[in-house]
Amino acid sequence: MQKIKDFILSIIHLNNEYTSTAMYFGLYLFMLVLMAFFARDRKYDAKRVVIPACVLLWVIYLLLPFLLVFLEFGLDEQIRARTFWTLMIPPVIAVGFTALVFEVEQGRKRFMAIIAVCLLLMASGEFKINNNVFQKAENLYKLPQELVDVCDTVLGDGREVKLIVPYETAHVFRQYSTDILLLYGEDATIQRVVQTTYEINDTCREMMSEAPDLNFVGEVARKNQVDYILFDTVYQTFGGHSLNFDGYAESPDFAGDRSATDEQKAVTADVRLYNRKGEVFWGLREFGLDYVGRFGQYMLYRYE
Amino acid sequence: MIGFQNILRIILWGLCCPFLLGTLYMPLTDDYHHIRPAEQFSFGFVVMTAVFDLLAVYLILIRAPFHVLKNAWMIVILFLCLLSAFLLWRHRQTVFGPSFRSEKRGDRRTLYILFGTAVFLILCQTLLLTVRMHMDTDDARFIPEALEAIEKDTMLAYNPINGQYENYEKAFPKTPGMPVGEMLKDAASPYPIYLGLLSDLFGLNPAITAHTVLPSLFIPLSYLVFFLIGLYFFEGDLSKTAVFLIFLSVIFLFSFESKFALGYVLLNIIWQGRSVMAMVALPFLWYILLLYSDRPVTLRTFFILFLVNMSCSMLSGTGAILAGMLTVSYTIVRGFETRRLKTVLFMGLSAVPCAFCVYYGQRFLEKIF
Repeated sequence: MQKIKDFILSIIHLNNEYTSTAMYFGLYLFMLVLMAFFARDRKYDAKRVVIPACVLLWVIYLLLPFLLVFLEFGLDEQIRARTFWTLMIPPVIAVGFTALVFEVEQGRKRFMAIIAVCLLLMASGEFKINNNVFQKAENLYKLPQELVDVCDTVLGDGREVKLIVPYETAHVFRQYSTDILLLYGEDATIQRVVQTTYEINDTCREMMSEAPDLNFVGEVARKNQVDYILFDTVYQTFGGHSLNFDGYAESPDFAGDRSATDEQKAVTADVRLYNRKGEVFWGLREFGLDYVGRFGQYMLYRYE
Repeated sequence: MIGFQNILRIILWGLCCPFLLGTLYMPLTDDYHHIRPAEQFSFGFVVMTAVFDLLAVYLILIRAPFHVLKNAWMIVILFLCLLSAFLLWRHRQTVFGPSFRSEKRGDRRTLYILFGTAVFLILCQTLLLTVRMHMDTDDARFIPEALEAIEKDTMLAYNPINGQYENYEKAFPKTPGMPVGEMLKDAASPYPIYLGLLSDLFGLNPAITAHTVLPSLFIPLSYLVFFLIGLYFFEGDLSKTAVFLIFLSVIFLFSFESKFALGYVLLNIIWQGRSVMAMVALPFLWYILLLYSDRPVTLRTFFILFLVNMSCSMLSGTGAILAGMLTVSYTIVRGFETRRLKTVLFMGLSAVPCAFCVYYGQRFLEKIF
């Protein structure tokens, strides 16, 4: 009984994962029905579109969940959701509506029908093209310019360098140059390429907190021959001093609890601020960290 | 910066080369019709990626340096380009002949308005991703792998995420590094290396190629394939095809209901292998399967389908599974319809590259690495 329940839940979950509001999926099924019954002499008839789609729907909705639940053999969730791509949902909807629109008398009526269909398609979907999703490009790499500047600075010596960076920026550096190595990368939390040591995972966790334990981070940096450490002024404060003067915002993609324990805060409680030619920075020399420069919201330190 | 020389290289390798290679579609269909640019580009892209798959999978396995792959690929492609040029020359009278405009055309003014609208929508979408920036954390794997090929002349020897040299043969410290974890997928579907190859040919960093150049090539290419599908469904009626493209554009602009939605794939991450597969190779496979739904399936059909399936497998491991599913579903339908073993065999066996890719990536590589 439990297996049958899992089977049904698996199908519902898969359907929701892909179709969301299900409006386009509903339109797709509607078009399949129309094509099955009203497109006999057309190229988009049952033989060419509907029957193969039914075979694929059977595979996606029944065969794959059955294999997964009853035989414990199958595709992972992401690939299962992508199996919907084989149905060619957008072109089938577009073909169906085009055929319907050309049933309308030529001229103004047809033009109105085209506009009506466009409005229906707009209302059926979700429009997410905005400045958050598509930001203004700062360079041809389409990477944040301040992080590209960090890359240029650390590569100044012309040799391979190893960095500890805030987790949310880790995906950027090695897109710029393979001479930049990272103690942990974008997969630190999921480790999809290789398993790393607990020590490195703990370092990543420390760097995600508002006041990383620099004794621990420094020790790991020493053991792993790290050259630079990058801090994020949006999240991090040392000695209770926030340096986010320009009010940079938190990234909604990396929201989460950043609070540090009292023990963590105690390590850097005595950190003082310094001012070098108008540049204010945390004095972290007692932890072996020399201030290099500020890059937007990020502060770069060389580990000696 | 993208200089004049880079632009020339992009035109040469990104436009001229696939266009010329697309000529090979003619002997494979035994139809030396007038040039159809959409078909030329789409099939040319398939040939480029399929040839790459054939060479790359083997050369990665034997841990050859990247330049060997690059040179081997270029030799094969140059040979195929010469063959294509010869075919064009030999059949110049039919290819460039008077039957150039054979599609059905209705009211010319309406047609221009409809096509103008479709092209405008497609251009807007292309410009959106070419000019604006969208970051995807999956690039932390694909782009460093491409960059490694160019900068280190190795293929999948380093962990792309952190740059660690993946060499577990401690007894043989001089042996090249080897793929591990998710990198095994890229050994079976080496699209990141193809991205490296394109970047090398364009003379650009893979991040620039992926984020700035490829959207301007792949978004129009995707619509070219859909244009072919429209022409097929509406039997060459350009007005209907234009309306079909308008509706399709609107759907893609509003199709962000999940991260698996095709609008998201087209307009956010088109430079990634699975996106190119979903928006170019898989629809082209569908087009070929539709085309042969009412034509006899021959050895040539098998070869075309084989190449497209190979292209899907090269672009993504998921692509191998999906292309296999699509091919098999049409094979079943066609098999019941024709009841001919030859049809079933030719169509079914064309999915062998997909099965090979899945087995090779999921089982074989795990055993040997």
